[in-house]
Parts: sequence; C-alpha cells; structure tokens
Amino acid sequence: MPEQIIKAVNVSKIFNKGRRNETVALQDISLEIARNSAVLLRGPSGSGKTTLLTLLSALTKPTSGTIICLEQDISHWQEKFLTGFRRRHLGIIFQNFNLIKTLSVFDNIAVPLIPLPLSAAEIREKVHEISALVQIDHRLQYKAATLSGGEQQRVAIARALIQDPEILIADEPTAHLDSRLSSEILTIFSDLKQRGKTILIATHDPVLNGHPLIDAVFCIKDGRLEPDHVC
Amino acid sequence: MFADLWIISLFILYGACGFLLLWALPAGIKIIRNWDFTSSTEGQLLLERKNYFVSALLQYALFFQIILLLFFLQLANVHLPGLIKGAMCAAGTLGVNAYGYTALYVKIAAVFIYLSFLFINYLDQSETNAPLTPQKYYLLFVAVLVFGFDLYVTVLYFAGIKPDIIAACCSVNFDINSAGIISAQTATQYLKPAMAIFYGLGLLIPFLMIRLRGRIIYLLVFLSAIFVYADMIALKYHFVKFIYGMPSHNCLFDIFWSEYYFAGYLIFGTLAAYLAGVLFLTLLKMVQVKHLAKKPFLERKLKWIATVGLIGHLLILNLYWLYWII
Ligand SMILES: Nc1ncnc2c1ncn2[C@@H]1O[C@H](COP(=O)(O)OP(=O)(O)OP(=O)(O)O)[C@@H](O)[C@H]1O
Ligand SMILES: [Mg+2]
Repeated sequence: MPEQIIKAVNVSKIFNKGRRNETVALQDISLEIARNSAVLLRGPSGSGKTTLLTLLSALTKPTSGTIICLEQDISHWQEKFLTGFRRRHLGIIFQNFNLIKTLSVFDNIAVPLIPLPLSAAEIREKVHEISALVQIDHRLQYKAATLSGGEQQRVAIARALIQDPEILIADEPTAHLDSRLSSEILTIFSDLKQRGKTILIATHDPVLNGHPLIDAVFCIKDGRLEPDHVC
Repeated sequence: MFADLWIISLFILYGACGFLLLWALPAGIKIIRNWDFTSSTEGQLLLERKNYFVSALLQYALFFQIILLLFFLQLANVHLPGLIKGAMCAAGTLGVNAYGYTALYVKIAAVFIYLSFLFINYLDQSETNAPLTPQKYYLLFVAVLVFGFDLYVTVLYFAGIKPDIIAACCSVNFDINSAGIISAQTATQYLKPAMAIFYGLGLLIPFLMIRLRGRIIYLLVFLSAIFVYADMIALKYHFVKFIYGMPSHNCLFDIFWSEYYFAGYLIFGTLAAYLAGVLFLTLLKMVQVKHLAKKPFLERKLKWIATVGLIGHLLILNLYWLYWII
C-alpha cells in the first residue's frame, strides 16, 4: 500500500460566503494521492479543478475540511508558513502562467532561487539546465511578454521545476502546446515520476487519456467528485 | 524652553514614534474586529499581511523609543544642568517639578511594553495558526495610551521648568523626597536591610532561575520587584560612592557621564537584560497555558539572558567596591 502524500478530508470551498455572489466551488471533497504517483484531475470548465489545485497546493485555505500535505495539516496555516511550505516542497504551473511580463525568461525561471544562498554562477547553471530540458533555452534573454503561448507555458514549467520540488502541480500544462511539444512535456513528467516525484495534473486535454504516466483519475463536476466514467 | 534644540530633537523622536504607532493603530483595530483565521477570503488574507506589517512598524517604534529614552536621559543629565541653576545632573533637573521622574519612568515602561508586544508577536508568528492574534493587539492600545501619557507628562515637565528656579541636587544635604526615589534620611536607615536583600536575592534568584518550573516564575516576578527596589537603594547609597570615589555623592545619574566611563549604561543595561528576561519568561508562561507548544530552547535562552544579566549587574557593582577596598 503506497504511502499518502496528499490527503483531503471533506473539503469545501465557498467563495464570497454570505454575499449575493456566493459561489460553492467545491463541496465535500475527500481524496488521497499516493506518493510517487501521477494523478489526473478531469472535469468540465468551471467544475472546480483549479480551485481544488489551489487548495491542495496551499495557495488558498478551505472554507471547511482538512488538507494534509506531506504529513502536515496545512488547512489553517498563516500565510507566512504556507509561503515557505510551497517554496520548499511544491512546484506549481498555473493555468494562466503568472509570469512576470517585464522580466526576461531567464529571470522568470530564476525567481524561485532568489531566497536561496546560491551564487550567480550556480543560478545560471541551473537555469540553463532546466530551460534546455523544456526547450526554451534559445529565448532566455527575451522579455516574457514577447513570447508565444506555448513558449510561455514552457517558461512556467521550467520555473516550477527549477527547485526540484517533491510535488509538481500542473493546471492545464499542455493547453497551449502542439501535440509534439505536449508529448515531450509528458516525457519530462514521466522522467520526474521515475525520480520519485508526485505529479498532479488538471486538464481536459485528450492527449492524457489513457497515457501510461497516469496512475489515477479523479473526476470533478459541479464541485463534487464523481465516478471516473462521468468525465 | 521649547525653542531649545535638544528639546526640539526630542519631540522629533516623539513624532517618529507617534507616526509609527498611529499608522499601526487602525490596522490593529481592523484585525481585532475582523480577524477570522478559518476563512481565507481576500479580506482575511489582507489582514494577515497587515499583521506582519504592524509588527515591522512596532519594531521601528521600539527602536525610536529606546533612542528616545536614552536621549531624554542625556538631555536631563548633560544638557539641562546648564540651564537650571543648582542642578548638576538629572537628579536635580528631573526634580525641579513633579513631572520629571514620571516622564523618565513612563519612558522606561514604554520600552518594556513594546518589548512585550514584540515578544508575544514573535511567539504568535512562530506557530502556524497565529494563536495569539488578535488578542496581542490589545497591547498596541496600551502602547498608544502610554505614548500619549508620556508625551503629556513630558510637555508638562518642560513647560514647568522655570529658568530662575533653583534646583536641589544629589550631594546637597537637605531632603529631596519630592524628587528622589526615597529620602536621604530613610535611605541610610534602610541601607543595611537593603544590602541584605540585595545580596540575599542576588544569590537566591539565579538559583531559582536554574530550577525554574511551574509557577516559580511568578514568585520570581515578585522577588525581582523587591530586588530592584533594594538594588536602587544599595546603588544610590552604597555602590556609587566607589564609582565616584566620593563618600557623600549619592547620585544615580552621574554614572552615565563620560568621566565615569559610561558605567551607568553597563549597570542599568545588565539590569534591563535581567528584567527583560524575566518579563519574557513570564509572558511565555502566561500564553503557554492555552495556546503554545512548549519551547524549551527559547526558555533556556531566556534563562541564560536573565541570569547573565543579573550576575553581570552584581559583578560590576561589587568589582567597583572591591577595587576600592584593595
Ligand atoms: N476567486 C474566486 N472568486 C469567486 N468565484 C470563483 C473564484 N475562483 C473560482 N471561482 C468560481 O468557482 C468555480 C470553479 O472555478 P475553477 O477555476 O476551479 O474551474 P475549472 O474547473 O478550473 O475551470 P477551467 O477548466 O475553465 O479552468 C467557477 O464557477 C468560478 O467562477
Ligand atoms: Mg482551471
């Protein structure tokens, strides 16, 4: 029985609670993710995939319920601790990338390394290594704003991977890539999994259907977990 | 009086302190009213960030408050004696009216209040769930009140200084009980018991500190209060003589002068370290009951600071005495 790395118990998330625009984004979600597995999160647009990822990756707190990540109950931590936790353990690829538009690709990828006691040479080496891996090394000096969607996506992936996180959380990581690049990214993911990482992907990209990388699929609809075949 | 450059500088320091406090205050009120740690709304997130911001503000406020205290001391000790006839040091200048000593004591109290807030804040921030927020913000209100009172008393003090007044000072033989901690006559009478308490508690407290557990800390607070009182008498009517090398100069303030190698800063600095140690240990004990995980390392460190402070304090005073005897 593989060990659980992430566990959610009866998690709900309600936006704007008690106001007129109250939105129940997630309702009573319980799930477990095994260490060193690759898990797919499926569901139609607006079903709550991104919301669930932000909860599991300590970006927001649940309205109710408990989230255990790496054996720690992170559901009600103050921001300072969540930030440190994310920085140490998680690599996050956002659906909308969240790149810093005015910085170069190099700087964008190097951002997570800033708090670490690394020399400029070490940082350069790491950035070059990781950008070669996702094939964006020919654009390192470009401003992030001038890149195509697919290129931005690869920068976002590089940034998430640069700290060698234990858990990789990817929100639609292949949405802007052509099928050749998509399968290359999936090769990278497979490689990471072989190196012991846990990978959590939200997507509706059919490329991932039945992909050998995936160990488990969670299907989410209207904020609730449903049996696999619904998606 | 208020056109004096030193006094203007002092009020600039008040400006800095007051500015920081008044900046922190609305945030504190908002946090007390709206804090809901279980929610993760935009508003709550903002409050959590404000929480960090306020502690940064108060760190600076503490810095300015300490400068303010030292500057006030220097002002009363070095600058004002040139303006007030008969005064030679702060004992004379602070005693010219009823507000001088109060102004000094309030400034000392203010430093300890900021220290309390920052220490509780430190404990609060060391736990993932910020267990002492928003309660810790009540101390911010206390700080603001004390700040206001301090400013008020200090203004009254300066306003009450008449240039033609003749102040009494330490070595003068007549009684200064309106100004000093205790009058000269009673002091000599109480010197013997005070010395006994000074040495008795000076030995007992480090011993208690080593075996500190449970509620002994509250006993320690009580004993510390007695110790400080006895310490002041012993210092004023016994030890300072050996610092000055004069038998009748019972002054607590000249020891801050450069002539005496700023010994006063060392003597009161070590005492302050001891008191801060006891204060922090007490606060730790008070909040630990409900909210905090045990912090044995921190506790040990604080015990060390307090003990080293106290022993240093005792040592410095006795070395002066010993030096004179030998
Ligand atoms: N910050 C927010 N404030 C209010 N409502 C929100 C917020 N974030 C998400 N929602 C709502 O929660 C629901 C779920 O959104 P979510 O982004 O998780 O969907 P999704 O499954 O990721 O969709 P997509 O596939 O289009 O990315 C939506 O109805 C959305 O409008
Ligand atoms: Mg989404």
